[in-house]
Amino acid sequence: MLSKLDRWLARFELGLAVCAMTSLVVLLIAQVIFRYLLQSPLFFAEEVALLLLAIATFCGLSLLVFEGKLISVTFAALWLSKKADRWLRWAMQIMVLALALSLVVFAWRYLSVPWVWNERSATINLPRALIYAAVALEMVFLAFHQAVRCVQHVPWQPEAQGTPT
Amino acid sequence: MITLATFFVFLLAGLPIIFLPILASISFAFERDAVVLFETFLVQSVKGIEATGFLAIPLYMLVGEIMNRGGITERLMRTSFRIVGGFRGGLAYVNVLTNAFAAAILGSATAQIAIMTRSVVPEMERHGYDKRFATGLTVATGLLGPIIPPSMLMIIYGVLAYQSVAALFIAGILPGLLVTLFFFVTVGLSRKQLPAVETPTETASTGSSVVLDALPVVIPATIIAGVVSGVMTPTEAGAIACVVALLLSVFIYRSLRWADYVPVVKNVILASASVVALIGFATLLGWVLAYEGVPRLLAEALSSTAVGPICFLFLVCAVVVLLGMFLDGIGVLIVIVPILLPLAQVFGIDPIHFGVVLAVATLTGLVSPPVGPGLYIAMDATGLSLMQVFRGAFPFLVAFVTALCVIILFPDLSSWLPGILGL
Repeated sequence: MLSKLDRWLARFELGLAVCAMTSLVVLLIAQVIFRYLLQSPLFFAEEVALLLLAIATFCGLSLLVFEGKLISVTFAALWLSKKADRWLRWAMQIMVLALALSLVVFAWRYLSVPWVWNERSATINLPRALIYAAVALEMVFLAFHQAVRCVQHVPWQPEAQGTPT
Repeated sequence: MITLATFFVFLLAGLPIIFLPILASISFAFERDAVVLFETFLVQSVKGIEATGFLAIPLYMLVGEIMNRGGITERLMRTSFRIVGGFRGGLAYVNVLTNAFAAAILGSATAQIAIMTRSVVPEMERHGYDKRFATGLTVATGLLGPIIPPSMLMIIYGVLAYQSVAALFIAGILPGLLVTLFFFVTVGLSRKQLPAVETPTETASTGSSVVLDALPVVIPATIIAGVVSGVMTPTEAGAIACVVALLLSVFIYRSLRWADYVPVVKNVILASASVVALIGFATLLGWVLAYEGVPRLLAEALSSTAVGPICFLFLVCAVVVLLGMFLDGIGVLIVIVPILLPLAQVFGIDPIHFGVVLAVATLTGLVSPPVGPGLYIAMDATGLSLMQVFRGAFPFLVAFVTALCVIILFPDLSSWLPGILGL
C-alpha cells in the first residue's frame, strides 16, 4: 500500500515536472520569437520561467530521492563490514528524512506569518508565499519518499535485490 | 569548528552531497546561536535559484540529452578519427578531440564523463589500451566540458558575479584549447600506455557521412554566433540551440521519436534538479556564513597573505582545490565568489579572467578523492576502484593543473578574445 502510494506520488510529480520543464522550454523559445521576430517581448516570460524552474527543480529533487539517485561519497563502505555499511546507509537515510522535515517545519513557521502573504511577484502579481508553499509541499513529498525508503530498507531485514544505494 | 566536524563526518558517512549544505547551515546556526535564521531557510534556498541566468542550465542540458539520443558520441568520434585517428595512439587522441567537441555541446563535466566512459572506454579497451589509462584519460578530458562554451560553471559564476555570461563563454575558448593541447602532449608522452599496433576503426568516409557526422558542430556555432553578435542572451541561445538540436535529431538523423519524449525530459529534470537544487542549498549556506561574517575573516586572511594578483590567484586556487576535494564544485563557487570577487577586484584582476581561473580550478575537485564525483561516475561505468581511476587520471590531472598555472600567468588567454569581440 505504502509502495503503491509512493509510486503514484512519483508518477504525479514526474507528470508535473515534465509539464513544468516543457512549458519552460516552450516559453523561452516563444520569448525569442516574440522579442526578435514580432518585436513584442512577453513581459511575464522570465518570471513564469523561474517559477517553472523552481517547480521542476524541487519535483526533480523529490524524484531523485524516490529513485535513490542522490550522489553521495561511499568512502566509508571501503572499511566497514557489509552489515555495518547497511546500518550506516540507513542512518544517512534517516538523516535525509530529518533534514527534509526540518525544512518543511521551517517553511511552515515562515508561511504562518500573515504579512509574508502580502509580498507579490513583479509581473503576474502572484503572492510569493504561494511559490514557497509549493516548494514546501514538494519537500513534504520528498520526505514521504524518503520515509518509505527508510521503512523498505531497514537494515535488520535481508536486503532486497536491486536495492538502491 | 563543530560545523566543520559535522560536515566532514557526514560527508564521509555518505550523506547525499546535496543535503550537506543544509546540514552545515543548521549546525552553524546552532553553533552561533542564530536559530532565528531557520525560518527563512527554504525561502533563501528558493531565492538562490531565482536568477534569470540559471534558466540556461536546463536548456543546455536538454540540448545535450537530445543530441546524446541521436548518437552524438559516435558521430563526434568518427569526425575526430578522421582528423587525428592516423597517429600512433590514435584512439587516445580521438578521445581528447571527441571530448573537446562534446564539451561544446554538453557543457557539464559530469554528464560528459558519464557518457564518454560508457562509450569511449570500451572502444579503447577493445583496441588494446590499458583500462586504467583509458578511463583516466576519459575522466580528465571530461573536464573540458565546463571550460569550452557553453558551460554551466560559467553561467553560475556569471550570475553570482554579475558578469556577462556571453563574455565568460568566449573567455573559455582559448583556455579550453590550451587544456586540449596539454592533453594531446600528455598522450604523446604516455607512449608506454599506447598499443604498438592499433586496428583501424571502420569509418565510412563518403562525402555525405562526413557532413552528417560533423553537423552537431552547428549547435555550438549557433550559440557562439548568437551571444557574440549580441542578438541573443545565453539563455535565449540555449532555447534556439534546443530548436536546432530537435530539428537535427528529428528531421536529419531521425533518431528521436515521440516515445523518447518523456525519458529525455525526465533525464533533463533529474540532471538539472541536482545542479539547481544544489545552487539553492549552497546559497543558503553562503547566506548563513555571510550573516556571521565568515567571508570578511577569510577575505582578511587572504588579503594579508597575498602580495600581488598572481600570488592571490594561486592562493585562491589552493583554497578552491582544497574545498573542491570535499564540496561539490558548484557549492564551492557559490560560497566563495561573493567573498573573493571584491578582493580580486582590489588586486586589479579582471572579473572575467577570475571567473575562468575559478571555473578551471573548481574542476580539479571533480576528479580528486575523496569526493571527486567524476571518479565515482567512472567507477560506476568501468568497475575500476577509486584509486585505479585516480591513478589513470593523474598524469592528465598534472597537465590540467599546469594549464591552470599558464592561464593564471597569462591573463590574456582569457581576456583577449572577449576584448577584441567587444564583450
